[in-house]
Amino acid sequence: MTVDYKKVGLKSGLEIHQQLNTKEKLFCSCEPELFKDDPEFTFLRILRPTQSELGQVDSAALFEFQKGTSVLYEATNKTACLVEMDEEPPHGLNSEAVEISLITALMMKMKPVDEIHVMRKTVIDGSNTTGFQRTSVVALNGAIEIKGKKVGIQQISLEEDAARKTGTKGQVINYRIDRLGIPLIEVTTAPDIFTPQEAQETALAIGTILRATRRVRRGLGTIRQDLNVSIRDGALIEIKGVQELDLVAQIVENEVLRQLKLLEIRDELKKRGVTEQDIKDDFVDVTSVFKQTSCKVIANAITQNKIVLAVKLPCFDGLLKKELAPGMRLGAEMAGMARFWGRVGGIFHTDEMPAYGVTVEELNRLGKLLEKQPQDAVVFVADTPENAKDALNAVICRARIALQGVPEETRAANIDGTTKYMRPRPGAARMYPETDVPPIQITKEYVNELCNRLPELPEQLMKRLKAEYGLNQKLTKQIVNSEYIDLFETLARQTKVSATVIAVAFTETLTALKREGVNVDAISDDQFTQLFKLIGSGKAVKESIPDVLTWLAKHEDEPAEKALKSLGLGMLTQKELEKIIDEVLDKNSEFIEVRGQGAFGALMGMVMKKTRGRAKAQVVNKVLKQKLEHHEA
Amino acid sequence: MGHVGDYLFDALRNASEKGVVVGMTSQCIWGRLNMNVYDQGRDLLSLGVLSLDDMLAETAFVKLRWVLAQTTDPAEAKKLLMKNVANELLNRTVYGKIGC
Ligand SMILES: [Zn+2]
Repeated sequence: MTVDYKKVGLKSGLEIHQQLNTKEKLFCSCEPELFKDDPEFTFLRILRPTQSELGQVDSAALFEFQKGTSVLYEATNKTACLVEMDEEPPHGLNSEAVEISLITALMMKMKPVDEIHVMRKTVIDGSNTTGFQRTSVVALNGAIEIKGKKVGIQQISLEEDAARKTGTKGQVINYRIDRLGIPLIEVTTAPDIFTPQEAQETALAIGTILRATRRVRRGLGTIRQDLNVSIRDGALIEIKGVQELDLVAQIVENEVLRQLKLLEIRDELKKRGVTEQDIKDDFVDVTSVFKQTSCKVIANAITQNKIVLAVKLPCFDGLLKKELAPGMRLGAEMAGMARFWGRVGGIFHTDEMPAYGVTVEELNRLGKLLEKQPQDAVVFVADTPENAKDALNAVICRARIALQGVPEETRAANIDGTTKYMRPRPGAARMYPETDVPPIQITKEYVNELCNRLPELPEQLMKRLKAEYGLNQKLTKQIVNSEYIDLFETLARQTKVSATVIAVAFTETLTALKREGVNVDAISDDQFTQLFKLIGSGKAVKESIPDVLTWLAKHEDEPAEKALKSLGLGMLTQKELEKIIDEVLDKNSEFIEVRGQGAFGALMGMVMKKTRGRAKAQVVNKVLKQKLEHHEA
Repeated sequence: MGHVGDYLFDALRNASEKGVVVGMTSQCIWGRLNMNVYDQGRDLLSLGVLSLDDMLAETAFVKLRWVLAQTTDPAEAKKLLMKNVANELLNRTVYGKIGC
């Protein structure tokens, strides 16, 4: 389905979060690094959301914690101190992080604030030990140009990153506080974006400017994109956590489709004559229907003394399975809300039946109990009475909203470009001053000084790279957009490897490996450096790069030299090479007799195949030529 | 957090103006001073009182005597006092490792 984005009134804005590459965290002197092994210590906290300083809390999170959720924090002494534990007040704002965010702001022609004030933003999902996130506006009102069009940059903020979730066990959520406090810059654009393509280009351009500061972190999770998408008559939807830049356009596209289809469903429901009053919270206990069911989920639930609760959605038949966008259906939207509000695993509905071992006969009995007419749908759920009731309340709430169109909500991005219900949209920013951190003055002199030493803008960088390293246009563009621009320049200067080879490795090769499922983010700067030093000194050939990188991705912290060894990619000695060539010549002596010197090309190919990147083409060429002459004689 | 009563402010201001090095420590063995949390602390900072972070009071006293043997210039003395020499002044306090 092609959509005229202008006609549907698409408006989109971006929020880009990027971790900064500072020596210390934002409010303490801990190392901004993540740990991989087991935590050295843990501590359990129970969050008790109170009517906070502003008297407002996130209703959804409050709901969660009133049910008795607690948080187990995991830490190491190297990556967390008393500040992250909220046992000590924050230290002063990290001046290095302030500088990087000011530089970014100036590169986007923004106006820095006179004084940076740290604020607290209430966050009660447990991802902050304090119950709030510290954030501060650094600059306002700038713009960047996307293919000749101006896209406004409303604001740049400097924030502390939150702890990262590592799991949930019953009522306990696990968070690692190593990430808590890592400096994060948030770039917010104006809703000036009118097509999915523009959204992707804007995200790319902002990412490129951030990397041009040369002072941001790279790797999975170091940059996160949030999208705001709305269409006329639709709703403002916030989509969180887009990790892959390439998905931005697709996610916006899907969101527009989803909203358009929800509007179609609204019109269809109107046509069918449904009103809000028709959708009743008349829940029926239908456990008896499933006493002998072969549906495993339901049978399991019943043995645990749970119940099956059902509700009728009048005139909804066929609408729950209607595809909104590829992979997204109204039924799944209801399931998302039921999971959130009812803590259930999922829901069943008649649109997808018979399935999951539920029989036609059971459905008939279910229908009878609920007085279901053919045009109605029935939703049922198997859980504790309390959870089941909360879940079905969420379902009827969602069904009523379907009559109005698109509900405002926060959605989470999936890795396949679809999105799912995450939570209701929080109210207006709940912020209040962080009085433990003194404000920082931003003087005119300091701003002027920074203006005089701004890093190259992406366009300037492209020009220079072309001139300095002789890269072609396409490769230059790729490397400028890449996370590895910094490392590329370092290696191009430090090693004897041709800049083009290095650039190809960091762009085309890594992209290809990623597609094959190789976790290229695991390869460290040191490992890259070692590999290119080996190539530069003739101990490895460039043909070995993909194999070595694949190996390194699987062997964290192992040296590149070991990769060569275990892959059998060490360079051949002269003797070993001669032996291979002799073998090839012997095997093909008839062919050589017929073709004479004309056999060279084919033989060369055979030898190169056998040496598998363990010999330089030039050397093979020379030795083979000599041997071939002797062979004839 | 570290406080003294208002009645000491004049004396502290006088001392500061005369070039006497004034620093504040806590009597707690573990943890650090943070003079930015309450007004009293911020007032003391503006009077020129140094926040000696996690230095112990006794250590600070001995260290200041050592510092004054190196220099009599108040600015230089303050710099030396705030510089870590032997793990007596650290910028991190970690859980489970009392002392250093
Ligand atoms: Zn810390």
